[in-house]
Amino acid sequence: MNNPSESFNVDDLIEPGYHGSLFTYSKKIWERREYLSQVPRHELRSQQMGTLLGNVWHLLNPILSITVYALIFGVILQVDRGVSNFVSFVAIGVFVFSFTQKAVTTGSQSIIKNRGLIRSISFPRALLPITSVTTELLAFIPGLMVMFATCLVTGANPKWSWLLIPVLILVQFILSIGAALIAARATSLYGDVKNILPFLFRLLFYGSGVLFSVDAYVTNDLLQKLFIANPMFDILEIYRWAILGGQVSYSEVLALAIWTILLFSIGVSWFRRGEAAYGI
Amino acid sequence: MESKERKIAVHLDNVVVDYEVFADKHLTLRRLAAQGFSGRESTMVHALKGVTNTIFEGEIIGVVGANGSGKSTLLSVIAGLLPPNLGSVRVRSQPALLGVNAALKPELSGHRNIEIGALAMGLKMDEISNQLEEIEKFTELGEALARPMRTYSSGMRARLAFSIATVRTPEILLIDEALAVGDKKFREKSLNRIREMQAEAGTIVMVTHNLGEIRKTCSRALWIDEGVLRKDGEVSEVLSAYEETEST
Repeated sequence: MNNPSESFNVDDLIEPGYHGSLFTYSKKIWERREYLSQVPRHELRSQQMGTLLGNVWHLLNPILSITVYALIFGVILQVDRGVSNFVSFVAIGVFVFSFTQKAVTTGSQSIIKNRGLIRSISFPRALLPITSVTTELLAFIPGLMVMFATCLVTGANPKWSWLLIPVLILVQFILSIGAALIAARATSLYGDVKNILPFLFRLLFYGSGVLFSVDAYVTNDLLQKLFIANPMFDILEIYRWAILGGQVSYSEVLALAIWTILLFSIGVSWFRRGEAAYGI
Repeated sequence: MESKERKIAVHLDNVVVDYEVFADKHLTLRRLAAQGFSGRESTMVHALKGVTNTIFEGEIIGVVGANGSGKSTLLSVIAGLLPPNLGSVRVRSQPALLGVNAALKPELSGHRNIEIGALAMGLKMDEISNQLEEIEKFTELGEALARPMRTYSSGMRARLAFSIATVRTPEILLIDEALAVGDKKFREKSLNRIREMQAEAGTIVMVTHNLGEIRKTCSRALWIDEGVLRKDGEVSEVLSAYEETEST
């Protein structure tokens, strides 16, 4: 079959399914940025398909949930110890936390839910978890609007530090991508992760002071250090400081920065190590 | 061999693929305690046992073999979906794989699937809208394109999948029984498209049980038997050898 004049030089051939070095890989994701801008919009729209109010729900959901929290914690339970503007405090906590929670949870499903796409078309698979996080970022926008409206209505004054919010959102976006990449590969390897994630996030929810002021309730030195070691606690503290004022410590900023860099770099490299086998 | 400098499109070097298949048993707490986490019962399936072959640009390869002989595994390996346990696979460019059950996003419409598939391939929105009409015409699905893909018959899915896979003409196209479910007219059309691709130095590897199709279209045939490349060569030679064992 193979006669001698044919060259058997395979050096210029490539490994199928391999998307090159980190640089080429990132370039290929960048080339698919229109996927990132189109698909999240489809997904949000299809989430509300079959409802009467459609996309209005994306705004109505956060309004309703903040009303419930204000009613229960502001009026009935009266646990607003150590917080002057409790409704705004809770609004920031709930919306900021749920952005990362939803981003990582949907991101963890992105590989197994898109097997059809993976098996048919070759593209850098990290595009899928990044798309999930982008979808949740988009869904976070109405939440942010409700959050700021709540703050203004309850008497918070606009501050220069509000201008830092886009930076904070970017940091949270990067942190969430890192965690989503890890969760996506872990879920593709072990289906068990699906059962563990909700508990992990419930633990984080209470460990981040979403509904209560950690400064007012936690006096133990070691416990306080543990809270600071939790990136979700740090990011909530910094959001609240930027929006409502108050204090934020350097250790919180530092801890968040370390977590963001760590989760993102571990996420990218660990996810890419599984790249070849996501279609199985 | 027509030209002296034929370029290699796909090179398989002693490719071995083993699957680990987990036993379908209830994982009870007692069994877990007895075996530990590593003790999940599994058996090894040797899907490919060292396949070596070189496919050149412009070839149309027909792959035959009994069910479960490793034909689909071979295509998955060439597509890069399944990393070989041993050996290596090299390709000139990323192949496109066309499987029989290809549905990208079953809950979305045919239109959207074309769009999402093309975006994932890296096409730009304006390129897509330029080609959309042509693609949709090729599928001949008409109004069904507005319906969710999960409502499609396997033939309709194959039409859509073939159209998506060839949106950006792939240099290497792998077809896994995908044409078999289409009706006669669509099969003819797809085969014509395949011949056009060959004329542009494209390479096609197709797995099918339709031996007539291989005779009409392919330039070479491979016969895979229990994970081993049993015969490689002229279409008529390989097929008659294959038919002989099949009929006994």
